[in-house]
Amino acid sequence: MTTALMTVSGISVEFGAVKALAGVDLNIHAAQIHGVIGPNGAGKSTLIDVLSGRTRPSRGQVTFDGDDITTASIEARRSLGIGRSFQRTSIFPSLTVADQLNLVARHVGEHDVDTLIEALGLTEVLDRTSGSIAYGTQRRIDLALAVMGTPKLLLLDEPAAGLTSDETSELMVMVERFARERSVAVLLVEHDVEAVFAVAQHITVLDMGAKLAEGNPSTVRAMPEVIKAYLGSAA
Amino acid sequence: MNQVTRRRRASDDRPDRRSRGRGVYVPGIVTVAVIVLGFVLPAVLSPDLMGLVIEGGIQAVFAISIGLLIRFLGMTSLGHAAFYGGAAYAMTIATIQFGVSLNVAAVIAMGVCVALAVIIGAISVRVPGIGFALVTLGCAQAVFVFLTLTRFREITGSHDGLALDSGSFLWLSSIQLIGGDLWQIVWPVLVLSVLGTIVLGRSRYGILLLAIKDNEERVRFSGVRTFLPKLIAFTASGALAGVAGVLALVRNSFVSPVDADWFTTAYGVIAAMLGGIGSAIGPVVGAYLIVAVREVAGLGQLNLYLGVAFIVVIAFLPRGFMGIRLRPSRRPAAQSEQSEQENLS
Repeated sequence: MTTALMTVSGISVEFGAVKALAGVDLNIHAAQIHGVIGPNGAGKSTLIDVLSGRTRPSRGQVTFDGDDITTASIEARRSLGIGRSFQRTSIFPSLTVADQLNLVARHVGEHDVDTLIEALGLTEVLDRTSGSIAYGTQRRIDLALAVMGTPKLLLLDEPAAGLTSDETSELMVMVERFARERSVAVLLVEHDVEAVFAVAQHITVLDMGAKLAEGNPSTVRAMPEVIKAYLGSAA
Repeated sequence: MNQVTRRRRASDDRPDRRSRGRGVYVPGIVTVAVIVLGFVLPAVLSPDLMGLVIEGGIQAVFAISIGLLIRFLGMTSLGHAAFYGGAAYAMTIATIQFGVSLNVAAVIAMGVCVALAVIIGAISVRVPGIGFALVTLGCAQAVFVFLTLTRFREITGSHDGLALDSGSFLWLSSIQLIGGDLWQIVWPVLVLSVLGTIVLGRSRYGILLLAIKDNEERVRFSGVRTFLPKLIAFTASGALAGVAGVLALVRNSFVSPVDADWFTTAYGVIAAMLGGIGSAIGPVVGAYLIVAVREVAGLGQLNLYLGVAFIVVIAFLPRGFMGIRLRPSRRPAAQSEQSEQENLS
């Protein structure tokens, strides 16, 4: 087993009396798609917020590439090589697609914007303000903004939310191809369990803010407690 | 040059070669004509009317300074009178206390104004939403109260204000300053302010500010620290308000605490909103509208008419009066219209 790119040790997050995360441990390895699944309220989005610097954990430690980044700012994490997308699309609605891609590319040092534009199918909408285009395309812009500069670790927070099954499949193919071609580690938090099983090499299952199970997809799929709690007949 | 850059340039309001000719040259010629005609105004207008034109021009520069922040960052400052009045006070005090010329005093005044803007900006630009407006208001009112303290009457004149010693300013003599010739300074400043707004909107820095206005968190997740760009914009805006304050002082030869009071800011905000912040000349239109209403209705009823006009604009013309003309347009400034509406709603 290779050294983990990101190590999460005993992360806890409390919002008043609510424990969103309770002592979660996680290892994310380079060039690996690591899926995180769990029902609503499991703490998936809180976990990704902690890893991206949006939420400060109450306890625990996060290291990235050997550095302790538990208290690092959002901007510092980005410059270290951590990109993220959002559950609710986070783009610049009043800017043209070209303007926002240009803006972010300049700041993160992305030199091959054209390839990214073509890979994500954004060529036809470059001149349009992003607030005026279809939601599925907006999600791809969100993804483009996250992967600019080829981060070492890409945090994807429910990238398939609001997409049709066909759009979800296309998106997952893009994510898988991007991770493989650019050797990027991906933490994929997703409600669509089958989408995660289709692309992830390692899966962590969360429940009520704690880790319930983890392993490769076939192992996790076969775990009785996972079947009972999350997968149901889908397993 | 990558595809994004090519597309951006290709989409610069110019769908094809023929319309590109019209799209660039016609507005260019009109702009140059307006700029030239502006200099001719003193020759064709009566001194009284010219006085109103100059006053409107100064207030327009002030309104542009406030409108810049609303347009590019979605931040409404209620404290710009601190820079307007602060610069005027600093200039007057410099001439009285140090006996320097108006030109040197103006440089000192701008230095003080920029320092004040950096301090107030450093405190306020981190605060989102309505909090920003309230923090700027609080800071400005602190400046206002300081200026009215009787303890410092010898320096600030307290509630009585200060008179500016007469003297030449730039290329104008003291006699010229109180007449229509001041337009020779006000008009270029106004033109540069408007053109600066347009250039900013098309610059990388302007796009960054619009991105921060749109979605600051996403800008931060792109690795960009947003504090400095916001502080620079705030300081530039405050400096422009200071320029307006210096011009007003030179014209009136007098400064009082009213110049630093929040009412002064309120007129600037209303002017920007009435004219419309989506257009570079919106604040100019709004400022002249206020001057015109005051002349027609009288100072006593100005606030009544302004209040009604403000309500009408907010309710029915969220892009201001200039928005009526802009609505069918598809120029890049439309980029800011959507979020502008969000600001006003």
